[in-house]
Amino acid sequence: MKQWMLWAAVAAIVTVAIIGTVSHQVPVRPRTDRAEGDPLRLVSLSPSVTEILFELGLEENLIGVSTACTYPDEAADIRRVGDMGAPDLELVQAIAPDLLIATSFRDTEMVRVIEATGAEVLLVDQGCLDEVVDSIRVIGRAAGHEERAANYAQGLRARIEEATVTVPEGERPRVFVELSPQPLSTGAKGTFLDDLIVRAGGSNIAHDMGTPWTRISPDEVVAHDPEIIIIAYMMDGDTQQSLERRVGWGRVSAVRTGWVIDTIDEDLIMRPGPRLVDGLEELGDLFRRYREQEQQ
Amino acid sequence: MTGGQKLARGIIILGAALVVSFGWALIAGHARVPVRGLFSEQYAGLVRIRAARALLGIIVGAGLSVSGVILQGVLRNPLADPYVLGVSSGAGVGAALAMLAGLAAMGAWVVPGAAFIGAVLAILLVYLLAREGKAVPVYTLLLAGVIVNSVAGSFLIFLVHTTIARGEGLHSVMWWLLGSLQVLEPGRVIAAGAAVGLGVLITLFFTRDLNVLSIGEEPAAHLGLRVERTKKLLFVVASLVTGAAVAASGLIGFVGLIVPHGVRLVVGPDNKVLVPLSALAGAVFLVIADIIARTILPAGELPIGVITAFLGGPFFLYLLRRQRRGGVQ
Repeated sequence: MKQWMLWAAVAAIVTVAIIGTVSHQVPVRPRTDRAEGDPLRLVSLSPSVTEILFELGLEENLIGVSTACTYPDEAADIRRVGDMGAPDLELVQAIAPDLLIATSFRDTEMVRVIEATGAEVLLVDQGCLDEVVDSIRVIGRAAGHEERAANYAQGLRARIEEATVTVPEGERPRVFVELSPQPLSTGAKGTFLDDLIVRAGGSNIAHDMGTPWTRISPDEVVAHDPEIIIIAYMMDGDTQQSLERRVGWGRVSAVRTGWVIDTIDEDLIMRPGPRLVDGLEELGDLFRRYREQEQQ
Repeated sequence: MTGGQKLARGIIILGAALVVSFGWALIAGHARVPVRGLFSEQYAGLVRIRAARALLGIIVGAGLSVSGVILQGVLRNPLADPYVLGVSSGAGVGAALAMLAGLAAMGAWVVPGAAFIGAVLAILLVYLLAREGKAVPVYTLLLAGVIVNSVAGSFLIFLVHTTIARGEGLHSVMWWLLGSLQVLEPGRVIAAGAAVGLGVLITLFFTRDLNVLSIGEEPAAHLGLRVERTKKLLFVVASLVTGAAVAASGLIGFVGLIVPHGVRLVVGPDNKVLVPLSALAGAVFLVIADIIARTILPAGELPIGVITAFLGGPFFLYLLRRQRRGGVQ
């Protein structure tokens, strides 16, 4: 190697670093004590929290969201402050929120660092459906909209009860929800997905898998012979055909009878937020249609 | 130019570069901190975060570079580097196991200590696997490194995956495999700084021995060097430094390859000059690489290992090719 190549590499590195330095800079907002009546400055690090804040009418207070926060569309206009659970600590400091709400952190130490900058951190659990509803109250209380949150949560709870059906075990359709094809994965007991399936009157074939979000082998799926398969992601090409092409899947009931469903918006069953209740109602309709057809 | 002059000049130039890059690191970032604001209370939090990162960059950069110089010298192999040889992965497994066992709370020394043990075991394994008689041929060394790297890396992913649900602060797979200079616990920076400082200091006392070793083990023995003892000691130093770096920042690859070779290209192979200048150049390199890592995306940061691998991978292939053409071993 010649020396000039070394210097060229050094120059290239320094140039890239300079470009990085001068682009995407956000001015730092001086942190002052919040006066009575000042709007609360909020950051949400999770799409479900963002949805809840919009539902509570707090979108004006939202000054930062995560890259995963894509719903509702207006969320796209809010500054992205990092990935879900992994905020950009610099950006958080620069925009100086009063309260940052998250469902998880990639590194728990981050909480301490953020709190040291003067922002409060609220961590909410959204493991199952009940926790999602409870989190609405918690968020509402922290954001000073307790009553609105309580009403909203109550409404959701009523809808959940309405949509939760009692079906004897033998009449529940066996359901497999495919979250990704490679590796083949699904949700077992302890996930809101399993919660939705059971409440909607189905029987989740992965219910007893042991780990909540889990991989599942194709032979296990085939062995359980699901009557309904829900594809919870965008699949290229025709879903029914591509499942028929999978080795050994042609004999699975759902594939044979055409109960391979790819029309449910994945966000409704995969995003732990208020729209899970919409997902619950859609699943309930689906399972009811299946049972009615069976009875004929 | 004599060695002493080269060294003096190198220290002045790289020392100045280090001061400049450190200052630059304080200003660079997604939040705009004006030069005037560096000492004002308003920006104190940001400046402190950035200073801690730059400091860790200096420590890890210097450590990995010196570790590379040692391994290249002792193994008489230009392709040796703690990352390529699986030493970093071994250190990662040690650190992860200590965190899992809940030992991290016992003190800032425990995790780097466990990483050190992992690194020593990995070096031993690679060395014993690769040795043929008295020689350590390039290809068997690289293969042994690849295997140890792959096994240790898989084990690391296994540990993270099986325990991630328990949320025990084991970082993410990404952190382990591609590294980050994000500083969340100041204790780790101090521990890493002390270990790397000690390692570099010891290495500075052994630069003459490294030079003697470079002419071959037998001639070195004829010149009165206690070859085996020196090699063991230098392996231990390389493990100490690598372990401390990995425990604090995960696996940042190829630094020990890029930096010493770059420095060698300018000042030649004399370890008396090479060791201190590689430490300085490595520090500057990692501080600037980290500036890129945390500013190149509009929000969030790129793992710093992506940047070092982007530079180091092609460079490694170039060295491999040159070595084959040169017909060495």
